[in-house]
Amino acid sequence: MTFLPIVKRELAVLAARAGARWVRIGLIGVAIFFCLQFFALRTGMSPTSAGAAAFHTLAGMAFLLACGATFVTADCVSYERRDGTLGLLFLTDLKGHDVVLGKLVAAGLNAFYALLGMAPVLMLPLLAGGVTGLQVFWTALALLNLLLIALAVGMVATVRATTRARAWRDAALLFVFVLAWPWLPNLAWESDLSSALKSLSPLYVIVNKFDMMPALKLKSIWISFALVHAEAWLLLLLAAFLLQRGWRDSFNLRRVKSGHEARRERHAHAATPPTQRPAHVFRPIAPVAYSFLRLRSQGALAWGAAVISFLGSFGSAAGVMGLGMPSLYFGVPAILHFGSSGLFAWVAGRFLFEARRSGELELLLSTPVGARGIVRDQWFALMRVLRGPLILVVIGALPHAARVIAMGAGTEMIGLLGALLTMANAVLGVFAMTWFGMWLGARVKRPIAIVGWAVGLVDVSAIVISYVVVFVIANLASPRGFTYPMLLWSVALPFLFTLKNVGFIWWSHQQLCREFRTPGVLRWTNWPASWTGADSGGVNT
Amino acid sequence: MTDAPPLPAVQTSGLSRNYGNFTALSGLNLTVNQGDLFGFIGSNGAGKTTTLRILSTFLTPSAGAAIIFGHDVVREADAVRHVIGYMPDFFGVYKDMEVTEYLDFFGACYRIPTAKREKTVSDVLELVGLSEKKGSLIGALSRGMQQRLGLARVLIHDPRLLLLDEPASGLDPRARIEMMEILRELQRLGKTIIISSHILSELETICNRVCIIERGQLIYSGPVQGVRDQVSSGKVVWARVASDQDKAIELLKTNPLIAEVSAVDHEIKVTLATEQTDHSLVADVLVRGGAKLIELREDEIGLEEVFMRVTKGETQ
Repeated sequence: MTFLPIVKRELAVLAARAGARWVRIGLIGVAIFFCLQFFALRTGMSPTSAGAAAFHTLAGMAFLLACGATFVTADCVSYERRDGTLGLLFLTDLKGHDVVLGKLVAAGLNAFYALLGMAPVLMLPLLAGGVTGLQVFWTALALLNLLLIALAVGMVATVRATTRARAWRDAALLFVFVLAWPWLPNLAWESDLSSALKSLSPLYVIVNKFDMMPALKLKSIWISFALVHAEAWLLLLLAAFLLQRGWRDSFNLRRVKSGHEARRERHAHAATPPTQRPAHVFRPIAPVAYSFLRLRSQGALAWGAAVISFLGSFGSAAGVMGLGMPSLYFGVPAILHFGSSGLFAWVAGRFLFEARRSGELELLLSTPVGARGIVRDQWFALMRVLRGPLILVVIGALPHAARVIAMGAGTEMIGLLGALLTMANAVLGVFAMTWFGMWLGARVKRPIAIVGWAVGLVDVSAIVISYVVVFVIANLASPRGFTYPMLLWSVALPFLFTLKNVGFIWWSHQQLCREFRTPGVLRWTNWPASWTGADSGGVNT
Repeated sequence: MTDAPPLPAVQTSGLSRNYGNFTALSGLNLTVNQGDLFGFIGSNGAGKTTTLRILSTFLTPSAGAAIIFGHDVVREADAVRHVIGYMPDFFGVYKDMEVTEYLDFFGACYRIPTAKREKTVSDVLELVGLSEKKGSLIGALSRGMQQRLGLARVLIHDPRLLLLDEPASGLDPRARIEMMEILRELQRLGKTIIISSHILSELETICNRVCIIERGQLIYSGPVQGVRDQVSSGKVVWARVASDQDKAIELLKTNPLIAEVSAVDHEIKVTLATEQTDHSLVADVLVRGGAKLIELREDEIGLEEVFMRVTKGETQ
C-alpha cells in the first residue's frame, strides 16, 4: 500500500487554501449561532426544552453536512483525469486501491474535522439537559457512519466520471439511492424481510437513534451500523476496482469526448434540429444570451435551487407552526435557504466566471456586442431561466406571508403590507443574489468564492445583524418595555430586508458596470428594440 | 566467442490500435536501439501519440506486440513502467504544488526511500536547470519551466527509456535550444530517448535515428542520412564564377553526369544525375573549361524537405 503520498499531497494542497479554513470556521460559527439562539434569546422555552431543540437543530445540520460530504470526494479523481495527472499516478507504483484510499483519507479527514469542530457545540445542549449522553453517542456514531458512506459513494461516482457536473450528479443520485432503496420494499409489502432490509440504509440508525432503545432495538441498531459500515467498504472496494480497470479510459481518444463534442453529437442524434432549440432562438439577436443558455444544466440548477428554497420555506413554516419537528425551527431551513441562495448565485455568476477563465469574455468584449450587451443579455437570459423557479419560490413564501398576516391581527393593514413585502422579498432576494453572483463571477478566482461570498454577504450577514438586534432588544430592554420594541422590529424587518435586497441589486449592478466600464443597463431605454418588440433585432452595440 | 547483440530498447511488431472503426496505428514495426536518440516524425493524427501511449502502457494495442527492454507492454506493464519515463504532450503537473513537493510526491509514489529522495530531487532539478525554482509554485512557472519540471518528473526514478511527446512544443527559441541541450546530456548519460516533435530542424541536429509515420503506417525508419539519400533524386550544387556565367552554364550542360543547370540570380544551380554523388565533378568541369570558380557549395536537403517529400500530407 502506497497511499500516504497522496494523503500528504492532498492535505498539503488543502492546507495552503485559505478557503478550506474559512469554510470550517463558517460552519462552526453557524453551529454556535444556531445553538446560542435557543439559550440567548427569550424564546419562552425551559432550559431543558431549549437544550433538546438546540441539539436536534445541530444534529440536523450535521446530518446535512455529512450528506454533503459525498460532493467532497465526487470530483477528487475525475479532476485528475481532466488534468491528465491520473495516468501519471498509475505510471508509478500506485494501484487503484492506493489512489482511492489516499483520496478517501484526505477528504475524510477534512470532513471529519468539520464535524469534530461541531462537537463542543453539541456538548452545550448536553450540559443544558434535555438530551442524554446516549443520544449524543448514537448521533455521533450515526453521523460518522453516514460520513463514511457519503464519501464512499462520492468515490464510486468520481472514478468513472470525467466532468465535475457528471461526477456530482452521479454522486447525488447514487447517494439518494443508497439512502432510500432499503426502504422501498417495505413500502410495497411489509414483512420481516423487508423490515430487516431497512437496516441497510444509513437512515435507519438516524431515524431510530432518538428512541428509548430497548435492548432488542439496540441490537438491531448495532447490526444496521455494522451493515452500513460494511456497505461503505464494499463501495470503496468497487471504486478501487473500477479505477484500476478504467484509468486508461482517459487516454482512449474515442471514448472521452469534450463537452462541446458530446453536445454536438447529442444534437446530431436529437429529433429537434439544434437551430430550433430554445437557446438557439437568441443566437442572431443576443449572442451572449445564447452562450449563457448553452451552459449545461443551468435550468436544472435553477429549478434545484427553487425546490431547495421551497423545502426550506416549508420546513421553516412547519417548525414555527409547531408541527413537532424541533430541528425545523431554525437550523435546517436556514441551511436549505443558504444552499438555495448559493445555487442561484452560481447559476448567475457561472457564465462570466467560465467565460473569463476560457478567454471567451475577452473575445466577446472585442466584438460589437460590447460590455453593455454582455451584462444586459446575460440578465435577460437569466430571467428566462429563472421565471419558472421564481414561481416556486413565491409559492414557498406563501405560508410565511400567511403567518405575517395572522400575526398582524388587529393591525390588518400592517399585516397585509408585511405579507406583501415577504412575498416581494422572496423574489428580490433571488434577484439580489443573482446580481451579486454575476458581479462575483466577473471578479473571483474560484467557483466556491461566488457561492461563499454571495451567501455570506447577502444572506448570512443580514440574518446575523437581525439576530443581534433581537438579542440586544431582548437583553437590554426592560421586561415591561420589551414587547413594544420587538413588535416594532418585527414590523420593520420586512422593510429592511427589502431595502437590503434592492441595495444589493443596485450596488452589484453599479459594480458590474464599473468592472466593464459601461453605463448602466437596468434602464428600459437601454434594452434592445428587438426585446421590446419595436425592432426585428440586430447585434447590440 | 562473439558477444550477443545488445537487447533493443524498443521493439514493436505489427503494432496496431483501433478506436472503433478508426485505425490510428496499423502494423507498426519499429526497433530502437539502446542509447539512441530517436526522432518520431509525423503529421497531426499520424499515430505518434498513440504509439507513445502504447509504449508507456497507457493504451493497450489492438493487435501486435511491443517489447521494452525485454518486457511486454501488456503482460509486464509494471516492469515496463519502472524502466520508462513518459512525458505526455500536456504538462501533467499539479499547479497548486511547489516544485520540490511535486517531485517529492512522485518520488514517494515510486517508493524511493525518503533519505535518497531529497538528493534525487535536487539532482534532477539541477539537471534540468530548475534549482533556482525549488520553492516556487508550479502554477507560477512559465510554460518552458513547467516543461522542464515535467522532464524532471520523468527522470525521478532514473528510467532507462524516455518517451517524450512533443517536449518542445510551445517553447520560445531559447527554451527549445535549452531543452535540446538537456536531451543531448541525457543521451550522454546513457538514456535511450524517443522524442516526437514537429520541429524537424531540431530533431535533425540531435537525433541519430528517425522514423516517419503517416496515417498510422511506417514510412521510414533509420538514420537521418539514410532518409535523405532515399528521397534525393539528385544532389544540388550551387556554383559561382567570377565572370561569363553563360559560358560556365554551357560547359556544365555538356557533361552527361549533370542532369540540369540553371542560373538563379548570380549563381548557377547544378543538379547532378542520380548516380552521381561527388560534387567535385562540377569544380572539375568548370576549371578544366577555363571558368574562374569562386564558390561551390552543396545544397543539403533538410529533414523538413525530406518529410514533405515522403509524406502526402494526409491526416486521419
